[in-house]
Amino acid sequence: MFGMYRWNDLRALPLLILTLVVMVLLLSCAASNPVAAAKTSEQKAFALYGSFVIFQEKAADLVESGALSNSVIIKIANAEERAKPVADSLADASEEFAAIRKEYEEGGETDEFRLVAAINNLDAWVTRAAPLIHNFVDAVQGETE
Amino acid sequence: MSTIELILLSLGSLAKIANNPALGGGSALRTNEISEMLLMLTAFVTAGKEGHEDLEEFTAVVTQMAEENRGPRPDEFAGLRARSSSAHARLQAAKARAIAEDSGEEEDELVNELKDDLVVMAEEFGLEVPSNATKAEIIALIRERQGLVSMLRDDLITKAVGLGLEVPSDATKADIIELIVEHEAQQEE
Repeated sequence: MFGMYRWNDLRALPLLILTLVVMVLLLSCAASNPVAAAKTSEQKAFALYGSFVIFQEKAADLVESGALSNSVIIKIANAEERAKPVADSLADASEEFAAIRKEYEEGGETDEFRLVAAINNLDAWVTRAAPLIHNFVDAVQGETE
Repeated sequence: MSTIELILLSLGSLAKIANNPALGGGSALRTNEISEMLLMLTAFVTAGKEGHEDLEEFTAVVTQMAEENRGPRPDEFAGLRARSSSAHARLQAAKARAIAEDSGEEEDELVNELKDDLVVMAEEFGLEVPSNATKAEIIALIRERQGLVSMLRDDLITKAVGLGLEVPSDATKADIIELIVEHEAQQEE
């Protein structure tokens, strides 16, 4: 949030305060939480990935709006660039788990050990992706960092 | 909170900031800065509203998924992946443009710094540089003067005489150069 301004640049103060005010207002609006609505690891992975995509789109709209400085645009794009590979891996792990679960339920060659390994892998990706995605969401909602 | 309420609250905050010198507003705030704030506010509200609506819709999808006790379908993931790729491309394109603009500004700054250095150099040679002179013009002035300075005294006398000037016998190289430069300036006029 504060990275976009130099501390000695007092002219940026009104913009900074306005940004903080709007950020708080937007956060109060964002009562919807897909991750909280999810119950299983698969649903959580899907909810997390979907939230990431929504904020990617929101970020793309913002950086194309012409209202942000170049340094802020670069910071948002960098945050997205860091989060995307992990978010994609999360989606891969979720789809892989879905395929293994389907095979297990259909009585194929998949044993329970493989199913447990797949769900553990998915949980690991959820754990790894969550902070990166949250950082990106913070960057978009606060327009920086 | 409705969008209207959000906009009203945001505009109220903007008005408070704009009128409060302690917050950086008041008379210190310029019109273009208020315009910039309004532009940013519009972008926040628009992106926030759309993002919030998308998030609400998506939460409903996940809630239903949880109620149905099912995992996401491949087509649901495929749809998200396509949207992600598109947004990623837009973000990276914006980043590339921002970087290109920033480097362009740096180049302009560098060019201006170089021009300042050239002006200083020209003044050291005793040259007067017009304020609208380009870098190339300043360089040409300096080269011309450098050429004169590097000439031998006898050559300078020959050049001055060739221009129809009278050169005092005790004139130094600097005096002869000054005579030549003055003469050339008069010729140009």
